[in-house]
Amino acid sequence: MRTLQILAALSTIFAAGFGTFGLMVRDPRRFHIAEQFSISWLCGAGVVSLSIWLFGLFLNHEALFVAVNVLCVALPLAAWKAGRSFGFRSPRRLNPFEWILLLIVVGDVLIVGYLAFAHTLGWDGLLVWEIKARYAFENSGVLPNAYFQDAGRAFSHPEYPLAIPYAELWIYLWLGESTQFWAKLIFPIFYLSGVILLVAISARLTGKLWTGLVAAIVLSLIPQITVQPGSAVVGYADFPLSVFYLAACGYLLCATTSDHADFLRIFAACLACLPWLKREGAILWVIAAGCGAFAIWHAKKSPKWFGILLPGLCVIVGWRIYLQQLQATTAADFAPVNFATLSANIHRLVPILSALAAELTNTDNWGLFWFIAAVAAVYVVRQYRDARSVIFVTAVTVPLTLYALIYLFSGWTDYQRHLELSLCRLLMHITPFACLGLPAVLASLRQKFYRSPQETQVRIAACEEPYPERTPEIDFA
Amino acid sequence: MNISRLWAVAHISLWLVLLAVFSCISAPKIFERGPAATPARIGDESFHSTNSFLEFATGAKQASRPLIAFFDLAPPGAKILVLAREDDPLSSLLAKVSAYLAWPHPVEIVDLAPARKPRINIAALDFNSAAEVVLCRVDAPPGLAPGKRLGAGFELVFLATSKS
Repeated sequence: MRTLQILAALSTIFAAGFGTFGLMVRDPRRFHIAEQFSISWLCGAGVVSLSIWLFGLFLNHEALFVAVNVLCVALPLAAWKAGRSFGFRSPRRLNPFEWILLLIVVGDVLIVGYLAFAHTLGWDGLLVWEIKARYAFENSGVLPNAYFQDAGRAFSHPEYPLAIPYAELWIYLWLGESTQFWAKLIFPIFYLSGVILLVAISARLTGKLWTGLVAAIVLSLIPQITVQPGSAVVGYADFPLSVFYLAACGYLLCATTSDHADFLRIFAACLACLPWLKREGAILWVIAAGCGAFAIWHAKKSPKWFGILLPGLCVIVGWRIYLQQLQATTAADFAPVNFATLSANIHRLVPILSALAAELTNTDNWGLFWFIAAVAAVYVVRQYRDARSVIFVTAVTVPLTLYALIYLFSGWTDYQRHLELSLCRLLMHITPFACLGLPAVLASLRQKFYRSPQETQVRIAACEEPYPERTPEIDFA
Repeated sequence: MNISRLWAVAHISLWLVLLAVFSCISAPKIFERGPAATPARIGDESFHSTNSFLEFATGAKQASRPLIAFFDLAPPGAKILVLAREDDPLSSLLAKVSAYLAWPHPVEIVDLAPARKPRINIAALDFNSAAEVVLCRVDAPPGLAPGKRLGAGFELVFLATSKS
């Protein structure tokens, strides 16, 4: 019975996501079935959590549960009624090298799934995220107003957004009880989705599936992602946020190389969810929206495309208004962001930058990842030399810079302790996206080796790009 | 082999070495920590994590439900006072897990760390406003009746029947 309930909870999330995907995308046959699975999971988690919050303003108990279930079923039906075709791109045959890499990736995902259930929820996983799911469950599916105003529980950050807690709550509502063990179920699925999207986007950008598989293996070998405190398996929102950021910026990169609007629509959906995952998601939203605006302007698309930035803005504004209406307490982790605080704390700049450098080179957390990512970013810039390189570098370096600078406004007396505890988790937000630089390197190495000098000269003389793209999607398919 | 082919081979070798070094540095750290995550006995699924936290901090097994039962003794809406030390991670953990489990009672966590500014005077604490007190690895204030111990350093004191 329990298995059926859990399957029903997950199926409804996927149904909501698949319906959203079907409504957004004009040509689903451009997407591999695994890619559709991942995008459906991300959209489904966003739709279900947002709808619990919005319907919860008017409904509770069974009415709320039924309303969200009806929405989950209605979305794919609406996509079908709207005449959208369903389908997916058939997988092509893999070569032996790709099979080996694929088996390693599958093994990695299974290990991460095992670790998720071997570990308990982490500190924040329990006391910041799951706490909201439990309290909402005990209050008929809606977080009680008293919780937002409870100064004694300010440590649990009542002001944080609800994507993760309400995705956990959805499992509780189906199970009919709150259970910390099964709340962990969503995190391996986020990891699996992240890995699939990393492979898929890499393959789209480089035309080589194996480069994406190598990037996925590298991701799984980063200790901060898989085994360190705050990793993908202990119930924190940081890794899911990083998957949404990967999907948003990754499909934006795809959109710059293809005239296909479907990529921009997926970008818009994932962009809208960023501020719904975590408070820092609003910072990532600003950066990704800036990149999106640049891509739209650069491609000389119609100004109406700037409208795709609005859903995320609505989420940010809506959540702020909701918190203000409830007069929610906030943990005093940060002082007000103004010039007075900045000038008072400017002396922290050098220690903060030192701490950032120390974290980036901390092999216990990251191995050599950031060194490899930095070198790979240079390759990306040299290889693409177009809007993609601007977007890639911006989407990696600007969050790094802003995340370091926010500690100028840390409200902790010992701000270095604040840095020490949280910076590694903030860096996780951009890690999967930064992995996209590696496939670019690997694809260029192969081209370097197989191209004869005569061919290169002919191409340069003909004003072709030194490293022309193959039709990327053919290889992934 | 021409120079550009040699350059390409060197280039590819460099990246292979880089990826190999990355794997050699990261993999041991993962295997070192991975097996440490031997599956915790699932026990009570509802309180899988809180039971584990409480056992880690106090040694008491399956302590979440007894703790909730203690909080349920307090009248509805009555405040729970949690005394802890933020400079002691285990004490801080116990305080927050207590606050988590005490819902829907309002809680007040009092930080008794000596370095805290302004320092809390334990003698000046108003116990009349609380129905129950939880002591998380701190000494009991003078005059407070002895309570029920739930593992090492974790004491629960029931104060009155109808304070709110």
